[in-house]
Amino acid sequence: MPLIRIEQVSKAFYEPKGELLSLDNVSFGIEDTEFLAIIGPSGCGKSTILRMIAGLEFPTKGHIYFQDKLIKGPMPGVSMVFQNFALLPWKTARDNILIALDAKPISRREKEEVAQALLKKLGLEGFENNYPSELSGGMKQRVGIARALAVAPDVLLLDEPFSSLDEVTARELRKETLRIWNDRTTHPDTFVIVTHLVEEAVLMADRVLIMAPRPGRIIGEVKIDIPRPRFEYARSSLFFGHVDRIEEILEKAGVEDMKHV
Amino acid sequence: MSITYIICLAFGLGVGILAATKERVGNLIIPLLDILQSVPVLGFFPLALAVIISAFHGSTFGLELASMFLLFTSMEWSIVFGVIAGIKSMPSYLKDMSQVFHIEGWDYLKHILFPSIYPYVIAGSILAWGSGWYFVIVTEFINYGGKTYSLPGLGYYLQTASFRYSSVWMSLAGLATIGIIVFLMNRLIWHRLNERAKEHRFLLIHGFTPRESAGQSFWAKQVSYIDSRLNAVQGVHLPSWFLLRFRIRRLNYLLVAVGLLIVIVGVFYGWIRLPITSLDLEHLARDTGYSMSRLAIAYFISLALAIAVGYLILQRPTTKNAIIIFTDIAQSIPALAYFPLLWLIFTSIFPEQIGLEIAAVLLMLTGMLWYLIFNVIEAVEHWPKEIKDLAEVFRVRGRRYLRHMAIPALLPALVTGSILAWGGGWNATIVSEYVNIGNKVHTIPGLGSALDEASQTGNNHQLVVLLVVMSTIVIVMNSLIWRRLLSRASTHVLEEE
Ligand SMILES: Nc1ncnc2c1ncn2[C@@H]1O[C@H](COP(=O)(O)OP(=O)(O)OP(=O)(O)O)[C@@H](O)[C@H]1O
Ligand SMILES: [Mg+2]
Repeated sequence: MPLIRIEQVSKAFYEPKGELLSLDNVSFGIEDTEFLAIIGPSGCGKSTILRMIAGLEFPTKGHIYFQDKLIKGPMPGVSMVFQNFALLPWKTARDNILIALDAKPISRREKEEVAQALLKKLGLEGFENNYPSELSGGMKQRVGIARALAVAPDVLLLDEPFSSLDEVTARELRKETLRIWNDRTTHPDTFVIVTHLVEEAVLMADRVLIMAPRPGRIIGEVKIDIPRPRFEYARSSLFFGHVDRIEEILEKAGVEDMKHV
Repeated sequence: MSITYIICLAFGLGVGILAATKERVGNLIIPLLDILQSVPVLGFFPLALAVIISAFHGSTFGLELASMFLLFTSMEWSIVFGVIAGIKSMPSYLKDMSQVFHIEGWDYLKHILFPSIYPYVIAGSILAWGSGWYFVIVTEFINYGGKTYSLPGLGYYLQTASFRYSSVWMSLAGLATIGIIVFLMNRLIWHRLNERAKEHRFLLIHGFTPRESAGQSFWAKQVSYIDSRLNAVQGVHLPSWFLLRFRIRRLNYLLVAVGLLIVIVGVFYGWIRLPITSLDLEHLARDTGYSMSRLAIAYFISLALAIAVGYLILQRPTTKNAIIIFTDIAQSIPALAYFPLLWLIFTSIFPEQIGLEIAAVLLMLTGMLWYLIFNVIEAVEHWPKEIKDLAEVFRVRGRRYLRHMAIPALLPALVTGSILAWGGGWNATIVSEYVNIGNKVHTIPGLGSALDEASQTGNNHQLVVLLVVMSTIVIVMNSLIWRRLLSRASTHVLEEE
């Protein structure tokens, strides 16, 4: 039984011009310890799916289950990394992590310890007391990831987490993210990433779901059978074979070149 | 009022363009305007009146002129600051572009500058008319030196209705008329101009993001209309406007303030030769204390209400429309217009002094509340979705939400709102602490009533002193409290990507 089940989910938003079907009858499962990527052009409903798994939004039709329970709102087992970091500018790196532990019934001391350990884990030592405005983009997202990990969730949702970073920084953080996922001794082990970049999906995920817009739907699925760590394969034909398969599916559905979306 | 507006517009454009394009001029003009603006308009009115009336020997023309002068001083600032803020926020590529293509002089003004600052000028004008309506009520019915001067108009009608005839019905009718005029004007003029302003959106002014209307129902239309009005006013993005003002060094402020003081002393004591009477310092301190405490009470109630409104909208977005509609309608009725009514009600329920106190604090409250609420609503409107999600995903709720997220995030809005609110508040003291009904004077002690008394008896020396005291308080508060809070708040601005 998958850890998360999305069953015949449709989502409509009400617009002045009428109803907008941003997701049309979408079904899939996410296995425990899986790294799943969702890819598709702008507006195909990727974020909407992620937000529904996070319990921030609800299906118009269909159901979503997490650990066999219907999702009724945000849960402690699901955490999230945001595209634009969502850091509070008036809080230091440490306090931004601590805010995630706000609702946890543990002592202040323990919270501080958790935060300190995560700061260390993400290479933020020495920046604990810096405000977001004093951090580089990469550092900011490191804080964003540390905060998401603080609650020790089962599932980590990442909505285009590296798209507001430059390529060099993005590459570093992809590695970091994979390292965290690989480390089975600590939570979380199940990752769902939303991205525009086919290469990013192929590099990171076990499986890639491909979506198309108007209405948002799944048009294909590609299993990525490249041994890990994959950086060694990043220039291999094995790697580009996977990239090509995904791009073919997108082309067939009439989705224009995604890099220019 | 329309005539005054046109004068304001011309003056605003002239001075604004000068101040914004010539750095050295701006460094002096901005603090000058700022100080002049922080002087409670109603405070220096009697003085201006004294000068103008004596110049025209009390003719109606002099009166009209005086009334226009007061309106001018109440309307001008938002327009000038709108122009300055508009020019300052013009993207630099526009300037580069016009230089490359040699677009200069009138062509530059017509094709580049005016269109770019248009949204700001509209926003400033909306604010200007708002405060204009507030003051038109006072200017048409003036007591000075034991004599009453009146000009035919709605303000006059309202004041006679309640103060001379103590008639609730007459005041209600006057109120309704004002409400309808203001509402129609917002509707017919500002809404349209504002729609046009949206076409100038290429500047990507914060707050001018197109918003899709929420549907076609009557209420939905109301909301989208009010939304656009809000956007126009807030498109100027008040925090940046204030930052601009506070970027000027304190030294310049000090210099300008001292310069002004010298001019005032020169004019009144050197030229007009006012007799210098002894000052009752103890009295002055006591009055200041009373007024300050009333204002502080009104301010903290306003602040609490504004935070509550912000919290409510954040937690229950569905309440937003109702709140916006309510505040817009309530705000379009000038507070001074319903003061007579408040006064009638409270003095009939409570013993006179207590009734007066309550009515006074309430009037100050209405003079302060809207600035705070509108700023808060605007901040909430621009609340990034990710931050909302963040609070939900990590379940930050209740008191902690208020403390860690809502209040810090609202700080920029609260500070800018507060600066405006205190300005409005001081103006309100002048009308709220002193009521003249059917030749009987009712007062509660305070700076405002002291000013009124001085103007009543024609004691110009006292007027000058009180005015200087009031302005000093405003300026000191600006530089000691708000400047600091604002520079802190400027690090709190949530970016919406
Ligand atoms: N709160 C909302 N109200 C109205 N429409 C919405 C809302 N959220 C999403 N939509 C619409 O649903 C569709 C899918 O949106 P979504 O944000 O999920 O797309 P996306 O695939 O994440 O796109 P992007 O790559 O640009 O982030 C879009 O057409 C969007 O306009
Ligand atoms: Mg998205």
